[in-house]
Amino acid sequence: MASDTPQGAVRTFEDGAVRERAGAARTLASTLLDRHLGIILLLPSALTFLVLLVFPLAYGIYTSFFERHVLDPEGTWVGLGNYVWLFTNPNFWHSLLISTFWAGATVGLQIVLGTAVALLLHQSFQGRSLVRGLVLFPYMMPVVSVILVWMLLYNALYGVINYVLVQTGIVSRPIAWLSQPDSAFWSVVFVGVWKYFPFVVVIVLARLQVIPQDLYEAARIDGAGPIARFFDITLPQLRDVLLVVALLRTIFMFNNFEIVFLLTGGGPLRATMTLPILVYEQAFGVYELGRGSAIAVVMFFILIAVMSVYFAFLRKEND
Amino acid sequence: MATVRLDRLHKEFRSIGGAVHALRDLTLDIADGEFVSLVGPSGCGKSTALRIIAGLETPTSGRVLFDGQDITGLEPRDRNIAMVFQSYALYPHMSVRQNLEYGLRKRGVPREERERKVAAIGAMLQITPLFDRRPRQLSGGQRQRVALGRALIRDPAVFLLDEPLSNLDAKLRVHMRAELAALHQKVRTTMIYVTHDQLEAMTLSDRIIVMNHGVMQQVGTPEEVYSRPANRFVAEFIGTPSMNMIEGTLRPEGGRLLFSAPGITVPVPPAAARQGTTGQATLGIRPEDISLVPPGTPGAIPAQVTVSELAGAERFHFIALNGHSVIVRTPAATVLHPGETVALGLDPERLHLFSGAGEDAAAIR
Amino acid sequence: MLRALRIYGAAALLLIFVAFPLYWMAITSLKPQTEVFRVPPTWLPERWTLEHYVELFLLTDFGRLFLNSLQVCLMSTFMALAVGILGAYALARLKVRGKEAYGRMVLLAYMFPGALLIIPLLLLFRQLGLTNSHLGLSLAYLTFAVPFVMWVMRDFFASIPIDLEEAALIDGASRLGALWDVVLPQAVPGIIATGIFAFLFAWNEYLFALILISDEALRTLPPGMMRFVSTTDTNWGLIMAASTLATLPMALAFGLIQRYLVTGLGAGGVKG
Repeated sequence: MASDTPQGAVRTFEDGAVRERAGAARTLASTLLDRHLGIILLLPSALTFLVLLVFPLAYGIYTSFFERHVLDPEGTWVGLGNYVWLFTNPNFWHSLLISTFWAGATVGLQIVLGTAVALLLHQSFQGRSLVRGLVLFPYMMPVVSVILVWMLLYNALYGVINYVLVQTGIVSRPIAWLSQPDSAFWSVVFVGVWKYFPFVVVIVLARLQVIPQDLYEAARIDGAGPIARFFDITLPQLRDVLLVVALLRTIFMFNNFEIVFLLTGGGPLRATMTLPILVYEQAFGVYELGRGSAIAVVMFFILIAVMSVYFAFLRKEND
Repeated sequence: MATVRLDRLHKEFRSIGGAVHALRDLTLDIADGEFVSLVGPSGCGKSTALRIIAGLETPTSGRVLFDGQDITGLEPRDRNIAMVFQSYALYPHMSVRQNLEYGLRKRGVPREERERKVAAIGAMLQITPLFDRRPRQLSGGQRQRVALGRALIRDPAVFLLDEPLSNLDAKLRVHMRAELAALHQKVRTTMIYVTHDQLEAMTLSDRIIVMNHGVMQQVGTPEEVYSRPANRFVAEFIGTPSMNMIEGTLRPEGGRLLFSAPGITVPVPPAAARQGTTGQATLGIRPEDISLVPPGTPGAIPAQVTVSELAGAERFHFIALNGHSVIVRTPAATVLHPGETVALGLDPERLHLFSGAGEDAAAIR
Repeated sequence: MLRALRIYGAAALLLIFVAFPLYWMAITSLKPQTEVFRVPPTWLPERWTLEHYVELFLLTDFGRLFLNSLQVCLMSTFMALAVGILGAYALARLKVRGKEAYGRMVLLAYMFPGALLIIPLLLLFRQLGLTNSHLGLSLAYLTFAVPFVMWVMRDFFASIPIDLEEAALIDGASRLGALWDVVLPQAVPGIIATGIFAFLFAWNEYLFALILISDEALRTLPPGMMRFVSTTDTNWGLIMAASTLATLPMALAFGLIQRYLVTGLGAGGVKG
């Protein structure tokens, strides 16, 4: 039967069978490796989490039951004392409120602006890819550079923002944006939105690109105008992705320390004193590590609460 | 080269709503060099069975034996098998040559031998000119050949094919089907082929295993499965257009057994009648086993034509028969018009009777 | 026509909004000291100068800060990739009991605020002698970098056809061999994008860098640059030069990976 060469070539593999059997011994060790590879590969990360997250978290909770400061570095057990102090302290409730406003305002504006920009960048026009690239700049720009340039822009004496507003007659004289309680909060919010809205743009744009085109064509045939198409097709299609983005961004903005701290340090008059800054103030400003830890623990439980909403949402999605 | 024995293979997938039985008690012997097909609708367990043979899934219970040796616990690489995937699964970052060589390399085959084998496979499948290309630079048919080559090059004991033709367009599929048949003639390796396309299974296989809901329905040569389906499911699954099914009852009358449904009464062939089954039953007859007879022929059944379709060399007529609808296959020259009354003759030798009405209704023979 | 006008108008507004601060940063760094404070401001430098850049390297420790940051960020990025990629592959592909719960924990870990960890980390690192150490700081960065890499790469691995690995297993590869020979080469774009994001987060980080490092010689860019505001009598030209240079590596990296951005940002990649 083997008249052609390929046939012969395929057939010479009799010795292959022998090699297979020799392989069986070799694989005993590597079979074990194969069987437990999942655990083995997860081990380094588990170790990382254990040492750098779980232990510190437990230690943080532990510390929150102590009064611990420079004069008493070993700490004195105070039980729930720090929490009692916390929940009876108006500064804590004030910061909780500020944090909530800060997260709500920045996320709300990021979502609205991000979605609008994504819709714009989904249209086709000359130079679109350039604009798409540039829009990402605020997101990739180092936080400290962002802070510094906005400090310059907001500057009361020679800041460009004041110059333009005075020239156009919108305000009569320069405003010290970051050092007045009423303007400081919104000035900081503005930077938070500027820095992070590109994230929403990228996610929403990616989602827009996979909405089937024939949905729009069908709606058009059914007589829907551009506004009806937005509300009846685009928005429902974006709903889930917007919910997820809003939830996750809320967590990050709630926990964000750098933007506010570096622009205002929590001031003026605690107008921008968010919870992370309060932790910092207690722990490294007045060296009350126990109280700082107690605030951090409360933040942790807020995080757990929001994350369980997220996981519940994911579970509903998967069903 | 190996015989394959599947011994009471059982596979459950646990899920939230309880266990899903992907495979129930599959027992099968495959001879050395045989070409068998596992065929059935999606979710019937055919792919699960193939993946268990490959070692990609572990059965919940049961064993897989190659040449009498239990290999159930072995990793895929220790089984001396090769597999062609539906997606071909060519390594995108490797050239065709590297794709072909990969398995040999992993088994420590020396370089000269590898080169010799790659050259031989290239010549056999006529893919030598493609050796330096990447998979994405190949057409569907070329990818198919490379995938076959990658499997063949190792001269596996068992050759597994998972819907290898379903990503090709219709014309190429017929062509590759023929090549595959020729290939099997040439290499004579045990081949196990999974497909949902009964025509592929019929044309390629020595034996066909028809599966449904994880249960083997029938094993047999294409001939047997086509002409003596074991149950109603097999009867309807094999053959296009499907076998006509008429539900009715079996009852004795005047010493004979009759099948009757509204407007139809057919005497049961003596062989089937000997079983003496009565009660609810289904009559099956293939479209080509119904003939158009002159009106007034004894036993002819009057019926109305609904639609006629020309399918190249033949015609399919949809005919209303007292509330039943049947398809009749005739040469293209037979022209019928909608509304026309015709007389149908059923070949009594080619009737199939099933006891009951469900898809598991067993054939009465 | 009207539609086109509206689109270009909106795009122009967007460009001003996004790019003006960048423009102002770059242009201010190129103005001489006296021009920086002038009102009305000059929209283009009347005299272009690199004096601030020269000053930055000659009179400040910017060069050292930059190199320190580079070292810490590269260390933490490579460690995070090594640890995270292995874990992500296990989560995406391998049978491990309880891996769903573990995956959820990873996301939770990724969301951990720095403010929550900094106190215990400081106390712990003091015990271990990891304060004032670049290794210590890069380990601290693993708290967000490892979960990030795992979360993003898990999705990336899941998007690679599983057939490829199965084919490799049948061709004779071990599971680890299949990962190395077949999966990783497919994952290279994702790994690069993920690595750049992990680097970016570390490059941005301020709190850990401020608290865990007090030795001047070891300080990294973010806290170091913030000190320019007070210590240099607010020399804005100099500060903007530093800001521009700190932005440069990220701009280059993002230019390289623009195509894969969504991968890095996608799914859980939402660190602020």
